[in-house]
Amino acid sequence: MQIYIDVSVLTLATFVTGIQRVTREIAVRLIQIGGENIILLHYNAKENTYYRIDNKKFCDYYTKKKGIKSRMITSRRVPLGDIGEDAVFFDLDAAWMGRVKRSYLLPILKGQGARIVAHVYDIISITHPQYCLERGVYNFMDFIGAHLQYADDIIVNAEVTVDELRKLAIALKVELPICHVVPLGADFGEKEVVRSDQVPAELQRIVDDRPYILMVGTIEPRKNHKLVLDAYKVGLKDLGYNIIFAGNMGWNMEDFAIELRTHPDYNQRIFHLTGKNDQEISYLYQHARFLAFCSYMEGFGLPLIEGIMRGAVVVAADIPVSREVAGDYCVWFPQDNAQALCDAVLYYHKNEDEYLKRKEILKEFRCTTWEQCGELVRKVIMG
Amino acid sequence: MIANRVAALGVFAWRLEKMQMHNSFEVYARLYDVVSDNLIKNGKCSNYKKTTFLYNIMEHPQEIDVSRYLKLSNEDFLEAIYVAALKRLPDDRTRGFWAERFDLPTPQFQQEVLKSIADSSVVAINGIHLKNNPYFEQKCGLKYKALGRLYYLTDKSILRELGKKLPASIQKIIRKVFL
Repeated sequence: MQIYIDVSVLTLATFVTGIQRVTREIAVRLIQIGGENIILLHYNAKENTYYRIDNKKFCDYYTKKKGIKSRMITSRRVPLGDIGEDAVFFDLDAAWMGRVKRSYLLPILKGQGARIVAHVYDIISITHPQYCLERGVYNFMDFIGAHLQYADDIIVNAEVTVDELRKLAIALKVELPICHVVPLGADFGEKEVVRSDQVPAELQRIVDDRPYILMVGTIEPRKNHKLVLDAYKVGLKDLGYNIIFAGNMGWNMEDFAIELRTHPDYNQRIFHLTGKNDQEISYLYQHARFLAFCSYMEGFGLPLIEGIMRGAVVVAADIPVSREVAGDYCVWFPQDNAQALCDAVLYYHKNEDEYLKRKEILKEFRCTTWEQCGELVRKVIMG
Repeated sequence: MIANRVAALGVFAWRLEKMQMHNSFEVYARLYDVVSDNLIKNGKCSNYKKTTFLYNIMEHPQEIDVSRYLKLSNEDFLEAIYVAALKRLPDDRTRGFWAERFDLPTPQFQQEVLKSIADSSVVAINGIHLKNNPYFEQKCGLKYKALGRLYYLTDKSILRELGKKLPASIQKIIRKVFL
C-alpha cells in the first residue's frame, strides 16, 4: 500500500518549528518503517503538479543536515490519478497554509477510492479564532471542513481535541470520522546534556546571569506571554528572576512587542531570543529555574513536555489539554492570573526542599518517543 | 444508443456531483457561522465575507472559474475573486479604490477588476489562469511568461531563507509582489 504525504509546507518553511517540526519527525519515522511505500509530495504551483521527494535525501537533510533542501525534490511528477484504490493520502503537514485547498483535493481523491487520513493538531482556529491570524482561520476552515466530510480517520494528539471535534461535527451535522489519539513524541535528543561550550558565549552569559523563568514557542496571542511580563511586575522581579522568551515574534503581537522592547529591563533582565536551534533550546531548558506555560488553548503543548523531559519545573496555566498530557508533573495556577503564577513561584522559592522534590518527580516522567509516535501513526494509516 | 447511455451517465455523474457539492456547501456555511459566532462572542468579526468563503470552496489551485462569480454584487465580486486569485483580501487602499466604482454597471465593474487581477505580478508569477472569463482572453504574453520565470525564485527554500534575513519593510514588498 502506497502512502502519499504532501509536505509542501515543510519543504518551503524557513524555520522548522511547531507543526513543521512534528511533520519532519513523523515523516522521517514513517520512511524508516515503511521505506519506499512512503511517497512524499511537493506541490509546484506554477505547473500545478505534485513532484515526488527523494526519501533518502529528505531524511539526510532533516536528520543529518546533509545536502541541499531543494535538491531533494525529484523530477518525477505524481499525477493525482495515481492516488486511488490501495493508496492512502495522509495529510500530516499544515496543508491549509499551502495552495491546494482540501475542499478541492479530497473529493477527487475520495472519488478515486483513496483512503484519507488527517492529522489534526488542534481546532483552535475554529474554537478560539480570536487568537489566530485571520487568513489562517479562513484557510483552516476549508481544511477542517473538507476533512470532516472526506477523511476516513483523524489522528489527534489529545482527548480534548476529540471532544472539540465531536462538538464541531454535531454543529455541522456531519458524522465524525474515527478519531485516534496519538501523543506526540518529545525525545528531541533528551539523553544528551548540552554543555556550556556547545552554545554561544552570549547565550551562556544570559543563562548564567540570574535564575530565570523560561517561555518557549512562537510569541502569539494564545500563548499569553503577557502574563509572564505581568507576573514579573507583580513579584518575579523582586524575587530576583530574569525572564527569557525563546521564540519568533508571531502575528497580532504588535502591542506586546512594543511593551517588551520598551520595558526598562529589556535586554537587562528580560530577554527575547530568536532563531535558536534545538541544542540551544535544550540548554535553556536545562538551566531554567521554571518553565512558564500560560497558553489559553493548546493542541498538545510540546514545550511543556520538553521542559519536563529536561528537568525544568513547569508552572502551567490550568487548561484541560495540559492537564491531560502532563498530569501531576506540573505546578498549576488558574489561567490568566499573574499573581497566582507569581505565588506558585514564590512557594518554591521559599521552599527549596519542595523545589528539589519537584525536580526528582520529573525524573519519573516518561514521554512518548518519536519512534512510538511513528509506529502508532502507521497503525492508524494502515487501518 | 451508446451515445445516449454515455450522455445519461454524464448527467447522472453531474447530478451526483451537484448533490455532493450542495451537501458540502451547507457544511461549509455552518462552519463559517460557527467561527463567526465565536469571533462575535469575543468582540471581533471576520473581515472575510461568507460569500467569499463559500465561493472559494472547491476552487482549483491555479484555474479560477470566473463564471462562478459573475452573479455576485460588485462588492462581493471584488472580494471573492480577489481572494480566489491572489489568496488574500484586498488591502485598504485597493478596497477604497474599488469602493468608488461599486456603482458602475456590473459588467463594466467586473471587467475592470478582472483586468487589474490579470495584469498583476502575483497572477503571472504563479501562473494563475482566469478561465470562463466572458470579458476578455487572459493574455499570456511576454510579460506574463517572463514574470512566470520568477516563480522558481519563490519555490526555492534557500532564497526564502535569505529573504527572511532582509529588513521587514523589504520583506513586506517581496511578499506583496511574489506571494
